[in-house]
Amino acid sequence: MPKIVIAEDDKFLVDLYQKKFSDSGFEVFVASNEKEVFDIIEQEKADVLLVSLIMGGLEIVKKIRQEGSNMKIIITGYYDVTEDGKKAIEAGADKFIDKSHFIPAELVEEIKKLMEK
Amino acid sequence: MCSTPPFLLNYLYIPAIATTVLLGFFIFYNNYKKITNRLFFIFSIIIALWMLFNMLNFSSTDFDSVLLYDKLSAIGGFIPAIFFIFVYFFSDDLENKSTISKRNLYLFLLPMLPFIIFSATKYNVQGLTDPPECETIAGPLYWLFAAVIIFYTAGALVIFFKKFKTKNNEAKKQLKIILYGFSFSVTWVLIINVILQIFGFPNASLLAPIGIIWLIVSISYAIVKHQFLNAKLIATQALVVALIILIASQFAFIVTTINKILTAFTLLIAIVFGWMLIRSVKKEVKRKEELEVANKKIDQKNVKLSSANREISKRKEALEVANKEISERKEQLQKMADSLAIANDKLKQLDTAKTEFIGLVNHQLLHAPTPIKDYLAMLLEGSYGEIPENQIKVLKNINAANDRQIHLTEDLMAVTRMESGKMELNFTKEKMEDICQGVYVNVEPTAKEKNLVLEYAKPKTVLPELVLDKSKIFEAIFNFVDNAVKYTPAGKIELKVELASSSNYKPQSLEDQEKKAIAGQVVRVTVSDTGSGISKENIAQLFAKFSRKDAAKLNANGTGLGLYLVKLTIEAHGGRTWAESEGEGKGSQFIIELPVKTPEEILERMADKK
Repeated sequence: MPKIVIAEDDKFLVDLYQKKFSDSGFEVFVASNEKEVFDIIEQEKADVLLVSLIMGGLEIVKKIRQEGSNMKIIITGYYDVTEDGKKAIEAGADKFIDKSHFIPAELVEEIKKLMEK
Repeated sequence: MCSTPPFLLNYLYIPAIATTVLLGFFIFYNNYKKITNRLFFIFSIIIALWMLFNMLNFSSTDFDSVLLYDKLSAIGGFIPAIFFIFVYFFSDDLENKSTISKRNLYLFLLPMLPFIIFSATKYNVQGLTDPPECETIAGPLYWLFAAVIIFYTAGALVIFFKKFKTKNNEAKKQLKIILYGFSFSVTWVLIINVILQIFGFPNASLLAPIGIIWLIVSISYAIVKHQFLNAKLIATQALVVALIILIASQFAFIVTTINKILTAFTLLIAIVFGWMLIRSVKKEVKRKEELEVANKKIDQKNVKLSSANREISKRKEALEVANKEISERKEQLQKMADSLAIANDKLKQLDTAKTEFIGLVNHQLLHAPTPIKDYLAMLLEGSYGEIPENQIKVLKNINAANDRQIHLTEDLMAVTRMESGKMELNFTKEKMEDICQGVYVNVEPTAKEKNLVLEYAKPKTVLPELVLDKSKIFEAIFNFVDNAVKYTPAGKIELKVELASSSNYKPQSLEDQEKKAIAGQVVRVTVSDTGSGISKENIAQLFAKFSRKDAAKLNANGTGLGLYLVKLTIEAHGGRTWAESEGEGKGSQFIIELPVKTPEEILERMADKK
């Protein structure tokens, strides 16, 4: 079972993503701050990280890549005016997803695609 | 036989006479044009003659000769008259005035007339006493003539003191000199006649006339000084000549041949050395004069130099002032540059703040609808269990309403970004045919559902590629076609793209009137439908921001921003967009024109990016 860490500021989205990913065959872990993210990654050896920009996604991406980890990272946000999503990709994130354009089912699809690469 | 005094007396007369003649001659020779000099010459000649006659009078032994010379020495009577005239003209000369008039001259000499007539007659000198004394016996006019003499002398002195008061300092000096000379002469005569007589030297009175030499010398000196004649040179010349004469005069008295030869040698040496001396003095005088001239020139140059120096100082000052100004301006400029830099920084900050604000607003506005959309999606998927049939429609409606909100936010954001210049357009070379094809494929299913015919008329020839943002142009064309499908109840929707040689631009709103049509070739996209058409009033409002009421209906997502966004997008590409309709119920055409030649601004933006 693939393991996914969800670090999302919007509690409704946390609830939604948790349900959908569980239903789709993932083992889901929820982190509410950066420290928890790293704790879970280390403990559980998670395969995927789904983190929003607001939760400090950019910094987390940098740190994970610095440590040399290859885990899949998806950054979420809304329209990327400030180009933070672009910066996250440059820092090593695998994809930036606009939450307003992807319903949970589509999100799962995207992540599955990524994992197949 | 008249008695004669010791020969020594005669010998003293000769140098005196010689000096007088020489001085008179030299003064005359150096500047004969001046009346003063001419007068002085006459003065000295008369005095010389007078002294000569006196000497001959004393030294003659023959009675008749003595009488003759006695009469002749009456010439001395002219001396005061001439002195009188001389003083008058000399003091005027000092002031560089020439008050000489012939009338005045004759007036002065008038009293001399009888003197001239009778001086040589027995009315003046009647005769002589018997030898050996041979003294003068005075005639009736003798004392009158004496009085005339005194009159002129007194007159001269009067003029003298009159002029003495009113002249300048230099003139005063000259007159003083003459006065001294006069005083010395008088003193000499007094001493000779009075004192020496008392001490028992009766013959000493014969020396009295010599005393006039002092007056002569002083006058010469005064003239020389005044006329800037070189005293040194004249003195040297006079001295040398006097010496020569003195030596030569010895020939009259020496007897032996040896003496004569020796005297001749002495004379020769005197002449030779005298001449050399005069020459060297002349040279020295010349050099002195040249030096003075040179000094004067140097002084002039100095004056020029100092005035030039002053000029330079002035210019220096001016330069310093200018320099100060320049550095002040520099400071000003620096301050301005600094303010500009600060303003620039602030602008950058503002810009960043703007971007962040838009992002924040975007985030906040989408924060609510997104989870709603996601929940609805999962509900409708059945993630939370089966939904009763009648509730599905409700959920779908909720979703649609929620999507409207999301679309509004997206449109709003898009408009804001475009208007703020924050919209990142990704310019690439694209084929319009492909984009239209994409739109067609996208909308076709919807058209089919509504039983509408959607046609895409591919161009016969290949269109030139255009530099544009593919996704944005796609959205614009999609907007038109999707609209057409939505608002055409029945019939056909045609999508056409073609190359045209010129623009067909028909501006609709007031502001559009100012816009120029595209120059040159254009690629034109036309979406025509058989729908309800657009009234004239609505056409003008169609592409406006938040277009009102009826016109708003025609906006795809009902946000009132859709067509406005299309317009912004197309115009950002240097193109034009508008709608045409013959009226309500007669269908409508929506047109987009893009220039074939890539606009300058777009090329610049692409260059900037690199």
